[in-house]
Amino acid sequence: MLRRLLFANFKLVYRFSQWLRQRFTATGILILLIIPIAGVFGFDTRSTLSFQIFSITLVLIITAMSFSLFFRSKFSINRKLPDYGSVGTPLTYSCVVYNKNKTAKRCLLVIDELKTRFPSLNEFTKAKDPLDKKRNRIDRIIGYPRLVNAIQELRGGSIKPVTIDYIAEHSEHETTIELTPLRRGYLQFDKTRVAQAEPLGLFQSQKIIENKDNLLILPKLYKTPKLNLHGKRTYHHGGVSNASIVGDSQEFISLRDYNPGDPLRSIHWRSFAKLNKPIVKEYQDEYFTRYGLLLDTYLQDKTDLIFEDAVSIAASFMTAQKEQDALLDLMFVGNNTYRFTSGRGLAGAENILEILACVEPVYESNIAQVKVMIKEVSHECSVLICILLALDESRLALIRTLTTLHIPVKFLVVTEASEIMDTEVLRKHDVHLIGHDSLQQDLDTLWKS
Amino acid sequence: MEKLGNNTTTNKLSPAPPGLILASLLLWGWQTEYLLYAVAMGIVLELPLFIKWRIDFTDKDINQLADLSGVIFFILTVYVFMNYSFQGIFKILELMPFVLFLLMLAQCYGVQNGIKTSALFISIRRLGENAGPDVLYQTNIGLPYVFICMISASSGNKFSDYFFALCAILIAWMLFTKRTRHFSKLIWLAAVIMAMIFSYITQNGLRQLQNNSEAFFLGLFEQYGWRSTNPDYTSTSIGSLGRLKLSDRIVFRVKTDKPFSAPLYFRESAYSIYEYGSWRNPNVEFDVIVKTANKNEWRFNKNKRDTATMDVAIYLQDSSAIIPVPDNINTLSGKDLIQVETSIYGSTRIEAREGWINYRLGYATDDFIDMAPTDNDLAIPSGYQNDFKQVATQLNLYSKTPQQVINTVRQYFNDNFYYSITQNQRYTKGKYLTRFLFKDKKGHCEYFATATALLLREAGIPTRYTIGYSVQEYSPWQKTYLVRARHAHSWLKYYLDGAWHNMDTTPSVWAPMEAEDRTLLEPLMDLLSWLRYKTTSGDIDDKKEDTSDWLLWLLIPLGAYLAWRFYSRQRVDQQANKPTGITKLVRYGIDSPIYPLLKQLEKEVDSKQPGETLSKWIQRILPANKAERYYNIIRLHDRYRFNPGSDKVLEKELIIRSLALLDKDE
Repeated sequence: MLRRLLFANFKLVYRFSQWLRQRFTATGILILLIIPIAGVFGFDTRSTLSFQIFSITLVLIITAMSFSLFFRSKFSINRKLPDYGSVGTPLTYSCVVYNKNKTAKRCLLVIDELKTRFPSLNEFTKAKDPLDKKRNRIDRIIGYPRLVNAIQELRGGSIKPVTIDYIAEHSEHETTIELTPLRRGYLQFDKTRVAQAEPLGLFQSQKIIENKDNLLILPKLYKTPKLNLHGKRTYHHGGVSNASIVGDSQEFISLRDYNPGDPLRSIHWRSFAKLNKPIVKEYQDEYFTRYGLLLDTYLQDKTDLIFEDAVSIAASFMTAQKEQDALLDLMFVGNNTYRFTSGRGLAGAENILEILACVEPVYESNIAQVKVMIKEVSHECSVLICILLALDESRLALIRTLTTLHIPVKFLVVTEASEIMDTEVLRKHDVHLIGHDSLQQDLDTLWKS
Repeated sequence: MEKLGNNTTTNKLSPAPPGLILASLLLWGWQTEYLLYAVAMGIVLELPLFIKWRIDFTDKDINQLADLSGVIFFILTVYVFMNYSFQGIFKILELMPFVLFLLMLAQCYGVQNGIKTSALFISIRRLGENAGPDVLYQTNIGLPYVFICMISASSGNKFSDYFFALCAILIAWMLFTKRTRHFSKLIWLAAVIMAMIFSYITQNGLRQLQNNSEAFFLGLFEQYGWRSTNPDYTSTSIGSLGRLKLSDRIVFRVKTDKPFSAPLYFRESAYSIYEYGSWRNPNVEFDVIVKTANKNEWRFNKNKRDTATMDVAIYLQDSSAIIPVPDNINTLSGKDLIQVETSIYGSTRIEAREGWINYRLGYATDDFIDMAPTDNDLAIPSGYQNDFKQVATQLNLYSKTPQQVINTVRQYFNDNFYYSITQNQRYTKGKYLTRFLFKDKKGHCEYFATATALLLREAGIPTRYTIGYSVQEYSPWQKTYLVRARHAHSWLKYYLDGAWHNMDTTPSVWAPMEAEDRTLLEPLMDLLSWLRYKTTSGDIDDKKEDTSDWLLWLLIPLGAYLAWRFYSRQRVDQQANKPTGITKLVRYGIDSPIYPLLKQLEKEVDSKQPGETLSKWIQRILPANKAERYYNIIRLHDRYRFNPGSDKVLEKELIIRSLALLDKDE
């Protein structure tokens, strides 16, 4: 009940603070802060003269806000977004502002906005603030910073406002805006505000322009070592094309008589015409390395950061492998069981990254489904890399199952700094820990160990 | 992951325009009479505009300075609270520019030219570098300091119109530098003038609003409130419903050589006219008592000598107050006192500093010096005349001598009435005493004192209703009488044989009964009160050293520490550091032994061109065979000068040797 009440108030507080930040300049906020202070000390007009400062600051703010009533400008905005962005790496895009007014405009501030969704009560209670432990007790109990953090996560990025010094009447101005993506997946652009401060320089008059767009943000990538697991090349019937079901093989070796069941597209029509019987093209059976990468999506009660790290590691491995004759299978269990293959003639790294950009964690155990999936595909894999989010009993059982497959398996467990693992178990199953705080460092030492 | 705010127009506070800080400090100094400090502080803070060197403070240094400011603020708060209680909030306000001066110094003289939010807020500091740039950033506290100076100045509460005008000018000055440039200055000026005119009207309106609302609420208070110490007027709780409850707060302390044998009455004022639950006096005037020459002493009667003294400590919320004194007061002395006045109704008013003050009371054996009785001291309100006539007849008072009347009345109240602080029944207005005399026969001290006074008047004895305190609770631990708010009492005095005498018909159980309501926290509150009294009150005499400012001594080590911190920091030339901003340039090898030789060459042959290396220069100015011998030394010098990892002692030695060899050859 109390939490529900607090949550309802948080909405108001957050919206009010956003309104303040969007509408007031730094000097305006300072003067706004002075109003209650001067008001408190000036409550008794006989004790201090603070009420005079209260009057001045209050009237100044009211005057400044009144000016916004006379702001009647018209603009249009055209955003030119790149194809992709990457988490944590600032990207720039251009924005064309068209001044539809009959007069030139000076000192404009362009504030591009991402769609801000307020989390539900359920999302708020489940949300985890990575800095929670460092916050004071009141902040932790009340949870307002956690809410702000959750909103920032949902919004997914931060955009710096840009100033435009001058736009002539009925002309356009192209400006560059910097966006720092905070999470992977699709960022939704919502609207653009064109603001101009009033003469006193305290309050911003704003014109809000609806301007929707989407931008895909790919996971953060790390430098990964080249896979050096001594997995043997395995036989894949039908060659590369068969392995991927689609596409034509490049490895033609001879012609042979038609056997029932051969696909029609394998028929060599010219020979059929010459010999008057069906002749089919025969392909070389291929042996090649096929890496399997299993991504654990069962997050349990861990923070999202751990899952983000796991996705980033998976993305890094999927993009780092450059062997021409190798295939890469990305496997994970979400709502369904997914297996995506990249390699020669198949999906490229960017496709895999797009998939990984949209992977979501699962909060109910799916380890059993993972086991089933691995058993089905294990005969095709030369090497298997498992990125796990924890090392509990169910995952240990999975590890034990995988070690019986007679293919080299590498287990990586992404951990929070505070987690303590049983070293005996780690050594026995060749499990490598990847710490959240030392991710790159741990990846560097992965194969050296 | 880095967290950033979004969708905001956040731009950090820009510095205050040159001169504004000095101007605001001058305003503060003028209003609070710290003008000299203000001038000095203002000059110190504006001086960096004219000097180039800066101090390279680390974040840790600034944090420590902020903490130090916090500690100073805490000590100041404790000190001021102890001296002035809640009134001290204005004193703290007045001193705020001092408290924040250290941070301003750090900002003005630091290379960073700002203060990080982590220094100002512990919660942000705890987050460390993980805090996003929307909360952890460097801000300039110049403008906030200007406003703090203005609000602090407002505590001076002088020359309100001038103060308003100066504040308006300072704020306009600040706004002028922050104005939006695309509007003309004329529009800006019109907006500011309009805002200031409306501000002036608003501030007058606020003043008027307070006057009106106060008049309204005071009217309510007069009607329903509890007593106030006013020499002209006192309302009583006669007729009020519910249970009387007075607090356990210690109002004053009385220190005597030995405990009293009976409770001692300290009166505040006496009143002669009773009307509808209130006592009042006509035209009360105070006479100033002349201070004894060369002494902090005020003598009420120059012909009398003190027979005994007692030391009183009282808490004053206002600089002018009526103090409780014994009836036969003869002298008042103490360095805290500024002026002493007395009224014809026996009130003593002093002017002194606010907070706990001490004074010595001297008293004589004779009775007090109040004005002789008037007709008012015999008047009975018309509504009660029949009632008191009936009681007087019943007691046969008309045929008794005054002394017999006194005894009879005392006995009458003692035998027939009992003490009660609870009143449950509502009476008809103007009939409270009738009910008390004939029906309930119970009430608190105001009932007894009022009824007795009016009954004695009916018998022809002039009386006055008196309010004050009964001094009776002795604290053996503090060796002092503690007088609490609940010891407030009312009694009467009657005029007989040419003198006024005290009479109290309230049953003596009143004090224990009221003490039953004391809170469990009373010992703790007493201890706090004692601590506050001990730490803030001075001595009575000038001769003894005043120890009330002992807390200020704590500031000395803090100041010394601060001075050491400032002094021990390396000073940085701002110009030299301009490209790098923060880090100080360390010039290794600046003492290379080759420099005297190079200077000599420059003087004798030709000076080095800008951008020319030493080798090129030597090659240009010297013949090839001679230049050859210099190249090795230049290589050694370059290593000594520019290679931070090399053995400096060895290289210097090698350069010296090579130079010696060169000298030899030449």
